Amino acid sequence: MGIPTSSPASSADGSLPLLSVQNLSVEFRTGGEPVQAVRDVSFDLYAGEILGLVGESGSGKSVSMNSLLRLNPSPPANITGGSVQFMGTDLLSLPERQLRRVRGRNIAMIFQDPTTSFNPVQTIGSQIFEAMRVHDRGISRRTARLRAIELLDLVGVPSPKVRYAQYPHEFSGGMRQRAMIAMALANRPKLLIADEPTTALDVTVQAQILETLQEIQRETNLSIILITHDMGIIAEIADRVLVMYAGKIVETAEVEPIFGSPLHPYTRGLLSSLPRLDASVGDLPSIPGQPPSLNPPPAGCAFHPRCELSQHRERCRAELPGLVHANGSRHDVACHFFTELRVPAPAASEER
Amino acid sequence: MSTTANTQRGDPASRNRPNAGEELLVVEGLTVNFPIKSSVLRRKLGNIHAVDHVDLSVAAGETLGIVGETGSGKSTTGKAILQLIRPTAGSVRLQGHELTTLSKKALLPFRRDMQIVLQDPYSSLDPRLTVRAIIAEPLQVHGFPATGRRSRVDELLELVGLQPEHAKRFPHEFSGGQRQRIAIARALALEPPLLVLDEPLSALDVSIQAQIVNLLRRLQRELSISYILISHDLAVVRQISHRVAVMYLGKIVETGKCEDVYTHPAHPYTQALLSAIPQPDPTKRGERKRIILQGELPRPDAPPSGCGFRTRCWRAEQRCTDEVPELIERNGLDHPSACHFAAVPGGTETSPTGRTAAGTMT
Repeated sequence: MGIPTSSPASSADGSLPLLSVQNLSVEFRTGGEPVQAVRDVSFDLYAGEILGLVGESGSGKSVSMNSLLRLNPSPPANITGGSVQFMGTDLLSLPERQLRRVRGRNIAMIFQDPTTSFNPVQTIGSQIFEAMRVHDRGISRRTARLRAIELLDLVGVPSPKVRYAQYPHEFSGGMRQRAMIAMALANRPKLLIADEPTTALDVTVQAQILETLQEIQRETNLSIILITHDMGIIAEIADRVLVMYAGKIVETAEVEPIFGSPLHPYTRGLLSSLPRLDASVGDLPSIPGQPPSLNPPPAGCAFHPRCELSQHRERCRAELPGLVHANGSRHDVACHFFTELRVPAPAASEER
Repeated sequence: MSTTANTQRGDPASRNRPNAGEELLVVEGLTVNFPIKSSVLRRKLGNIHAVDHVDLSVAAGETLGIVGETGSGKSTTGKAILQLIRPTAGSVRLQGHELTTLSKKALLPFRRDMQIVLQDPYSSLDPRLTVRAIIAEPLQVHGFPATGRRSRVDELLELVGLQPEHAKRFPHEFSGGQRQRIAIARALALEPPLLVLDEPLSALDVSIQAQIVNLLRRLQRELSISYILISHDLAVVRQISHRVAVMYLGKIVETGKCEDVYTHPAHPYTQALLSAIPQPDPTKRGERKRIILQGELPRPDAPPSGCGFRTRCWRAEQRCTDEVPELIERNGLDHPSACHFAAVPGGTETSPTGRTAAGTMT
C-alpha cells in the first residue's frame, strides 16, 4: 500500500473528466503572514457525478470551489498555483470576459442563504429571465418566460405562473432555495456547485430540496459538487467524497468506503463524534482541540496536534503527508500511518 | 416566598435545592400571543399564537429536550418560562413559586435560579469586556461578595475546561467552542438549578459540538442541574435529553421519554421529522424510506382549524379539521401524542428505524 498518486485517474469507462483540478493553492494576503486557505488541492469530477466536499468551517471548501470560477475577491485572495481544466479549457488562465461566459452558463452556483442571493426589488421571474438573457442576448421575453415557468415547475414550486411574477419576500426559505436552483439551471449548466444549499433550512424542507436536486441530477445528467459540513447529507446523496482539513484534501473515496472504512484519523474522528438518533444517552468520542490557524498551518501534517494516531511522532510534525492510493485505486488518504488504523473502526453506533 | 429569596443573597449554595427526581419546574397552559398591529394606527389586527397551551415539567437533574422547526414556538416557550417574554396566559412554577404573576422587581431574586445559554457565542458575549468581567457580571448583579468573585471565576473557568489565565482575555481571542464554554460558565456562575439551552450547538463545528455535548453532560452529573435543551437537531437532543417534547405550530404534539419517542413515534409529524434527518450511513440509502412532507409550516396568525398539522399530513381526515386532538396516551403507548390517528405500535406505520410508513412516501 501507499503507492504515490500517478497521472490523473480516469473513470471506470476511461472517459475524460468534466473538471480536473490540479494542485490548486489559494492564499489570503491581509498583512503579515498570508493565510494558506487552500493548499495543493487536486481532484477530478466526471459527468453525472455528485461529489461531496466535506469539512469544518475554515477548512477551505468554499474558498477552493469559489476559486474554480475566480469568485474570491482579489485582493486579498490570490490563486498561487495550480490549474482548473473544465471541458478542456483552463479556467484560471482564461481572460475575465471569457470566464464570465462560463459562470452561470456552464457552471452554475447556489449558495447557503437564498434570502441574500436574490435582488429584493425584482420579481423572481425577471431575475431568472436576466440570468438567461446574460448568456443569450437573442432570447425573447416570451420564450424566456415559458422556460422560467417550466424551470420553477421542475424544481417543485407550486403554481409557477403566479410565482413567476412574485417578489423574493413572498417566497418562504425553502421556496426561495427552489427558485435559486431554477435560476441556476436556466442555462442548462454542465456543473452545479451547491455551497451548503440546505443549511439555512429546516430538516423537512431540507429533505424536499435534496430530493429535488437528486431528481434533477438523474433527469439532466448534471454533475454536482455539494459543499457541506453535514456527513448525513453526504451519505444520502454523494457518489464520491472529498474530506478537507486545514486547506488540504486528507481523504477521498467513493461514499461507502468513506463511511465504512475511513482511513484518515480525522475522517474517523469526525464520523464517531456524530450524535446519533439510534443511540442512547452517552458521551460522544470527540476530537480534542481546535481546528488550526492557517497563517501558517502547523508544520508537517496539519492534523497532528489533534491526532490520536500521531502520538507525537517526529514524522507527523516534520513531513507533510501526500495523498496516496490505499485500497484499490480510488481511495486516497494523506496520512503517514494510516495502515495502523486498519483495524476495524470502533463502531460508532455501538452503545456505550 | 420572594422575600426569603431576597434574604438568601450571598452564598448561593445555601439555597434549598430539590432532590434529584423531584419536580423543579412545572408549566401549565403556557400561552404566548404576539399582537399584529396595523402599521399606521397601531390597531390590533390579530394574534400570532406563538405558544398555545403548553404543559411541561422538568425534574431536578433532568434534561428535557424541546424540538421543532423554525416557527414551532420552541424558543418562545423557553423565553416565556424564563419570563423574558411575559406569557399571555398559563402558569410557570419554579420550585413551587409562581413566576407569571410577579412584578419585574419581584422576579429578580428568581432570575439567579434560571439562566440561559444562547445559540451564537459571537453575539452573546460583550466584546469589550474581559472574560473575567463577563463571568463576574451575574455575581455582581446578584450581590455576591466582591472578595470571593475572583476565585469563583477561576473555579468556573476550570469547571468548563478553560484555564484561569484565560480570564484576562477578550472574547475575540477565542474560537466558537471556547466562547460557548465562556457563555456556559457565565450561566453557571450563580449555580442555577435550571439552565435553558437555546440551540447551544448550532453555531459550532461537528468536532466541537461533541466536546460541548460531553461538557454539558459532565456538568449535569457534577452539579445535578436541570436543562431545557431547545434544538432543531434531533440527534443532539437524543444525546443529552432524558425526555423530549416535539412542538409544531406552538403546540406540543408528542412527548415522552427519549427512547420511547425516538423508537415508537406516534405522531405523523414526529415520524416525518425523524425520517427527514440524513443518516450518516450510505449503505442504508436504498432501504430507507423517507417521508417527504409536502409544503411548509402554515401561517401562525391563521392556524388551520382542528389539528395544526393536518395541512401537511398524509393521514388527515375530516375529523382532523373538526376536532383538536388532545395530547393523551393513545393506542397503548405509554407516552402522549396529539393525533387522532396516532401510530399503533407494531402496525404498518412504525418508527423511522424501520423506515416504513404508508402515505406520501418516496
